[in-house]
Amino acid sequence: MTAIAMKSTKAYRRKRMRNNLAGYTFLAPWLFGFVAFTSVPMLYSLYLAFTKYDVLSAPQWVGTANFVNMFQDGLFWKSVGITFKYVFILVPLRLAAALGVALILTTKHKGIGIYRTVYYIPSLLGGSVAIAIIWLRLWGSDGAVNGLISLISGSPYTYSWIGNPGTALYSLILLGCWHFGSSMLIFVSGIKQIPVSYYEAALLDGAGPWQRFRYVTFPSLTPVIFFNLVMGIINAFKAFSEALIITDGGPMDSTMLFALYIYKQSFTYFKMGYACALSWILLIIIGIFSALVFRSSNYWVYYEA
Amino acid sequence: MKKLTALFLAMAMLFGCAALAEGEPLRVSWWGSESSNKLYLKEAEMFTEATGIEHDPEYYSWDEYWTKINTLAAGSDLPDTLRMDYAYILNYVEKGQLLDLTPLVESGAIDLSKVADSTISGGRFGDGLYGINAGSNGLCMAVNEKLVTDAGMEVPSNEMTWEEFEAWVIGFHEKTGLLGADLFGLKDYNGVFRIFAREHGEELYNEAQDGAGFSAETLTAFLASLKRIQDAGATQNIADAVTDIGKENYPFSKGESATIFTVTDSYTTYAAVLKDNFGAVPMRVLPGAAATKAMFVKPSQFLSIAATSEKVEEAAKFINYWINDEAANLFIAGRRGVPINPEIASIVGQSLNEESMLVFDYMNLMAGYASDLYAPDPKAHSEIAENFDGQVQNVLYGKSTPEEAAQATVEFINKALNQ
Repeated sequence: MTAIAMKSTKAYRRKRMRNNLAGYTFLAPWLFGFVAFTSVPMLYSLYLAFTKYDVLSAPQWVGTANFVNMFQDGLFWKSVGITFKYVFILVPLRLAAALGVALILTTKHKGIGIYRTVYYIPSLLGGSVAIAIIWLRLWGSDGAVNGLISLISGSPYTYSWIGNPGTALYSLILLGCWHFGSSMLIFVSGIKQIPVSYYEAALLDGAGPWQRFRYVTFPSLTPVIFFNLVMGIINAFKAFSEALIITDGGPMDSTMLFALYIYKQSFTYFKMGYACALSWILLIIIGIFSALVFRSSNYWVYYEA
Repeated sequence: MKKLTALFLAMAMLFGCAALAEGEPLRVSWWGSESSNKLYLKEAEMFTEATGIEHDPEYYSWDEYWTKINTLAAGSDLPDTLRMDYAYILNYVEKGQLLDLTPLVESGAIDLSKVADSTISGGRFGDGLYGINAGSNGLCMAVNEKLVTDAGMEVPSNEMTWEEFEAWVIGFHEKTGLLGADLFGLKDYNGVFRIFAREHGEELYNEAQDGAGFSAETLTAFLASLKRIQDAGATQNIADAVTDIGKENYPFSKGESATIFTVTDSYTTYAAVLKDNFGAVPMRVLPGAAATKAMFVKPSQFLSIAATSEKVEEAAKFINYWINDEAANLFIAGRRGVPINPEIASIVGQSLNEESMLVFDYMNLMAGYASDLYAPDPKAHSEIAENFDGQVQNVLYGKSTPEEAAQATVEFINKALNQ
């Protein structure tokens, strides 16, 4: 090593440090927010999960009692079951709807942009109170859905879809499906990125529309599907406001989604320690499923490069 | 050097802000619906005009209020004056969150010289007084007189028993096809069931508050009656009742139901809604209450001061104004219960509108059917109430029998109170 090389190493290091410093300075606000508002509360909640805490008095350490009680709590298992049902029916349905509508909306028609906007709007409306009231009345015993059925069948139909424990969850699932807009837009952009040359090649080989979809569109879209699948699963597990506002856990706890169950334990019954324990269980469940999807992605996701 | 100056200036700003806290206004909080909020805001403004003490109002809906107050309590940041409810006050007193008002009363800062001790005894716990009763309320049965007389029936009397009531609502439904009673009030753990238990000489919780105070038989009878009323069509089917949100959408408010069990505070809402199309809405005590004087007179809300408050003097003035100021009470005109100062009550009583007059008269009448107020509910009360509602749903959906549901409820209460 010559003297020049050594000097350049030191100068190089200092320059790198200056560059990094700029990076860290820009990062600092976000980092501060992350530490102060995410990491620290998360760690505190992990501590609280082993305590009994009713907000008004100091937390009392109880060890693993919360977790032991949880596994004996009938409503906990019921809520887990309902949430699993919700997630595993909603996510495929919503993906299918998003993909289907996206395919239609990437054809070359005039004004197709307006349709895309219109179909995106329900996602924006989300779980608002206005939507909740509309949905409630829509699926009630004297709602529009029953009105339509009565019209078709000729005799009055008054089954309350949202008031009966057997079907209330399905109306919530349908509400979730109605929010397919954001996934759809991502699919649209994914479809637009597929090189036209692939389709030309397929047409040359005499492929029909279904075969073009199966052999060109779908494989090229697998990264997008993967993204939407993971995001969809995570968001579905966290679903909360619809269950709270529309049915409040629903007829006979049939719509007691897990996030709502946590909310009730923490803010209605003031069992904060138990609620923290429940939250960590939710985190673990979401983590497991995300990991499973990631692992499986090696087998079915094709990346361009 | 520049960096140091900047740092120093930033620190100065921070400390400056803390110093400003000295001149902060008095924080007052309450819960309410939109109409109540307008009322209380105006009254707080009247207080500021009268005394020159600035106020800072914080108000929420009933459910959000308790979440917010609990969060504030955890951060030792409770508002100076806060409303308390009988259902929750014991919990706060036990955790030392409320100031003992006895010294303030003795010094005259809060003038209770004209108030009967029995009226404020609800706020006494142990040796201290932790909340001043802002007014009294109770439960009542509101009746749509026109619907009843049109059906050729008579308005229920105050002496009606529960069995007679059941027959009455079913009979009303058979005659008119309309509902005899609203399901909302009919299945309320806090309301009608508390009275029902008292009709059988029982309470919701036992004296030691470590178990249910009522027997499974009592609850079985109640649930069975409810099921019969629902199945006969005299009240809404539980599946249909889910979609009715807000008092304005209840069948009673739309003139589709003959009676509703409600709190006297809410009575004026129903009376106002029905006035134009149906006229008078008389009030009666709950069926079956007459025999054992099962009714109770309850403090509608307490005015309390936070233990961590630094503006105790001003907070005391606020409470004093609320109770003793003539102009303030005339403005509120009995909409949050009968004033506890009898002189003020009589002045207000003469100036009331018709509906509030009825409430006043009813409260006087009900006192004759009432016995001692129940002890404050334990902390697990809201959890127990939700479980109760779940069991009622089980019975009404036909998923369990009244006996099974009653047994499960009693077991749940015993477990919840011993955790």
